[in-house]
Amino acid sequence: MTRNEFKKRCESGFLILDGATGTELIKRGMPGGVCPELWVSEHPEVICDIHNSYIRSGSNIVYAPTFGGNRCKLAEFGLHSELAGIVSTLARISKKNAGSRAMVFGDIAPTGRFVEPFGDLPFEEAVAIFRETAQALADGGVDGFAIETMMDLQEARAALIGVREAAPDLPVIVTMTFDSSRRTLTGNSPQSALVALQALGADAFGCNCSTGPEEMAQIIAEMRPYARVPLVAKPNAGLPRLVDGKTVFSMDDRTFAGCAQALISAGAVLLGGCCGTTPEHIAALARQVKLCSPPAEIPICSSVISSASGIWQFGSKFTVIGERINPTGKKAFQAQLREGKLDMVMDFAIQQNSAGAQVLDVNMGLAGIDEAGMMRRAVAMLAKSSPLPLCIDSTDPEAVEAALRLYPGRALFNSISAEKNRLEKILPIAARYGAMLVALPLTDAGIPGSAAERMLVVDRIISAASDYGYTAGDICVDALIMAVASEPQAAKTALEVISACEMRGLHTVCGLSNVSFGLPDRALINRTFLGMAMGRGLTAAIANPLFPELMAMVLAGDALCERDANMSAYLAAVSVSAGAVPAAAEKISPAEALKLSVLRGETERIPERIDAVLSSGMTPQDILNELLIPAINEVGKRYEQKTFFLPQLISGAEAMSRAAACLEPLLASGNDSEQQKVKFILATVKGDIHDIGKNIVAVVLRNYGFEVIDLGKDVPPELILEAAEKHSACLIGLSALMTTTMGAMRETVELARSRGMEHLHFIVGGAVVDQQFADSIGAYYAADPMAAVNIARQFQQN
Amino acid sequence: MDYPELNVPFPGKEIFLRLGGHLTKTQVDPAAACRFQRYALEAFRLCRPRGRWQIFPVTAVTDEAIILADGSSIPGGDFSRKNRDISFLWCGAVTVGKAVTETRDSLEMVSARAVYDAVAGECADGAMDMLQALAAGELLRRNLRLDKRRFSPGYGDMPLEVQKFFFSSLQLEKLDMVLNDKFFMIPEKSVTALAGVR
Repeated sequence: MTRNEFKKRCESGFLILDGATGTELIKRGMPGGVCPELWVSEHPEVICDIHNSYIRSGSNIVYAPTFGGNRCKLAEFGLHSELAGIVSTLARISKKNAGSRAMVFGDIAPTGRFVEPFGDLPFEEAVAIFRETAQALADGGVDGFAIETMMDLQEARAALIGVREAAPDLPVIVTMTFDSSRRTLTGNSPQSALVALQALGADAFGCNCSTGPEEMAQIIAEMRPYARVPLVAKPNAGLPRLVDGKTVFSMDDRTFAGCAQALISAGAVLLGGCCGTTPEHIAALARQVKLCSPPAEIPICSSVISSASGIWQFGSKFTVIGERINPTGKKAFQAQLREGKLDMVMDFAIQQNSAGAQVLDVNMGLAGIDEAGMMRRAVAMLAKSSPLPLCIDSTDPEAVEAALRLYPGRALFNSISAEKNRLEKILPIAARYGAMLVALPLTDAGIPGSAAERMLVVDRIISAASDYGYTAGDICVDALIMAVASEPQAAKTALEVISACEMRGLHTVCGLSNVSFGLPDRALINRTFLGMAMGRGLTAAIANPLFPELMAMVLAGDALCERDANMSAYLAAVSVSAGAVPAAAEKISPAEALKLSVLRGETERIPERIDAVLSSGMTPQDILNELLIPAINEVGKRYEQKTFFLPQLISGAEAMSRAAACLEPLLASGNDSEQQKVKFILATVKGDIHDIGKNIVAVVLRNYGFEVIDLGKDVPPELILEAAEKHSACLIGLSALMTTTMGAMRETVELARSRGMEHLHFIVGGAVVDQQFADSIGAYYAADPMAAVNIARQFQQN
Repeated sequence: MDYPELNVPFPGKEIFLRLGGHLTKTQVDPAAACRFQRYALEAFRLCRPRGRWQIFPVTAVTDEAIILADGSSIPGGDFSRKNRDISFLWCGAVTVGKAVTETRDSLEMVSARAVYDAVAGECADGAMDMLQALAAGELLRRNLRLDKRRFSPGYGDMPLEVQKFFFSSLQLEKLDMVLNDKFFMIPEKSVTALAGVR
């Protein structure tokens, strides 16, 4: 069966897959501990019986028993060198038995290892492992492949590439397992996996195992708006439970089949069963499917790119493609790349993500470096640590292939022009990995002058791309904005291209900063052009998201262009950033700016802010009493209200510390506050070496005016009491992380009582400590640092 | 089973919650958010989650302990009383390595240290979740079911001394882990756990 025949078969009606194989093998006598593939090859009548049962039940496709037929799994039994023989034999047995009654798909399942860039199995080695299995299956005559039970998108990609390289014309079904949080074990969402794998050439995609049919219907429904290939549902027979020491599944055949309509309405076209299902389940399912109504038609979105964990849909909002990961004009970055370092790539990614970019452009074009090698490393690093989809920006075919082959998502590729080299060499590469394309209206003769001529070039590119299966929705046209300083009509022409594309429903993008090249106040020109272009329908811009005014304009533009339902994103952003807009910050007084720095934990800005307040005439004592103490109190209040979380509390305390250190020399004379400080002994108890929580409490306490004597960790009770005596302290804070070390808290308190040290007050805290335990030993309980401060303050006041 | 590299997804939400964040109430200004995110990602890059697991046949379960086929006894009534009918004992161990905690301890800013600590802790917990899920899948294929509920030495009534069993039976030196004289694991962000197998 060819891929095209499979597609047509799916379009003509539902296909029934098989059910569980492993449990059926055990039922028929397969002992525990054996290699299932070898055992079945020695007992061919067993798999023939199972397949016959499923075919009689209505299965149109049965899976060859090759779930563990890869080099890694067979190596566990010392059989890896016999892979080709075992796997192709199993395929032949299955195919000969099924004859024309059903199709046989070769079963390909995980290696049990994690694949680069997330794991230790090199990506190309993983591809080779799956290619080897696929070749053996193809040699055995399978009709197609079922890559199943995948728990990681990158391993599924490696498998799909391996199969495609071994058998380019056979159809491939890919199914993954998603848990109750609707993520794979490695955090891939169903949509991100679908988008990446259908772009890479999966002929059908869906889920198997993990959940019962009702939950699986919800996952299928979530994928459907993005599914350009048939969706597959192979659920378990409900939830597993233990009966008489054996695992049984909750759904009988009729209950299981009763979910068929839900799966079909959600969008499933290929239906079968996984753990706990039997030929009876499949027979009931096949009967039920015939009675089901097809799902309602819905529009399918093709303009979608993805990272390993999420997707981005062009047109849903204006798309800002962060331009910073590009060495052009960045000397420090260039120097790093020449040294083979990628630290700044990570910095740029974090900054742009935080600033609101939706996609990251990655360009490693720099003379004197191995562009392909650096691109591959950059993509690997970004794939692991950034949730944003990538835009691979290169003219080097080798770099493009290195990036797209490894990238665990569907990337945007920047760009395909109508130049011969790009159409002949780079377009096939981009197509092989299913990247969405930026179409650059440029030919070997140069850039066409008019918008009409550029649109003709766009048509040529779309036509060439369509030969590889691309549709208009997979393409984003670059409006090709040039510098208005040298070409006064450049903005007008680009705007005309945007309008022409808008009328034809094509997405558009531009390299925004080009327009202002050579002009003063470039940011103003860039913003103004962006507003004009958004008004014409521009979909995306490659721009610097670190300009807040630019990002504010994008938000407002989305609100004005009906891309922001109820203007909720605009209103939320405006209300959150009201006090943080740079222009507004400049207008506030030095005193307010200092308070704001404590609230925001801007430790590094404290000295300049203190100097500014002192210059305004405020005395050091007033700065402390009227600005800093109210500010740190506000930090504590917000923490207690949960509008701040712990790092903000600590950062505020650190900023306060810096401020106090700045003021200390000025406060020294005539200030008796030092003498009034209440002493607080702090220790992690005997036997416990975890001290981060205790250290945090110390920082916060110091900023509320307590003198903290930190005894460190693993401190015996005797030492704690000696320190209390030596420093004349009456407040003692004890920290413990483990239940087994909580006993040392009790020991310390009891020792104090036995010594008659009734004036000591103990405050206990730590991950496993609770109010009940504190009560039981006669101590106060502090659930967090502010609670410790509040308890200590009561004693301070007394 | 040995997993020299566990692909733990970045546990952003868990880190936020561990640090006292509230999903709807907490507001972080953009500059601070960027700073904390940077700490978190730097810490995450230093984490090298890896782990191993094994199952051991159980011969008896008392109110106080699990008795294994080789005669070893795993004390802990909370665990044994909830696992009277198990056939095997699953033991797993993960670590995120020492680089993240070493860097944490060298940092000047306590806020950064707190974030590093939370990332390392959540990464270790995430690695154990992943190890357990991988083991569950592997055991299911052997027609065995691994309990989701797990117990660790040092929690409940299971003494820390049980760590000795983990180190000898799982050969945790292969994960570059060591046990000190107080039965604390080094690297610090390491997790050991037991669960029942039926």
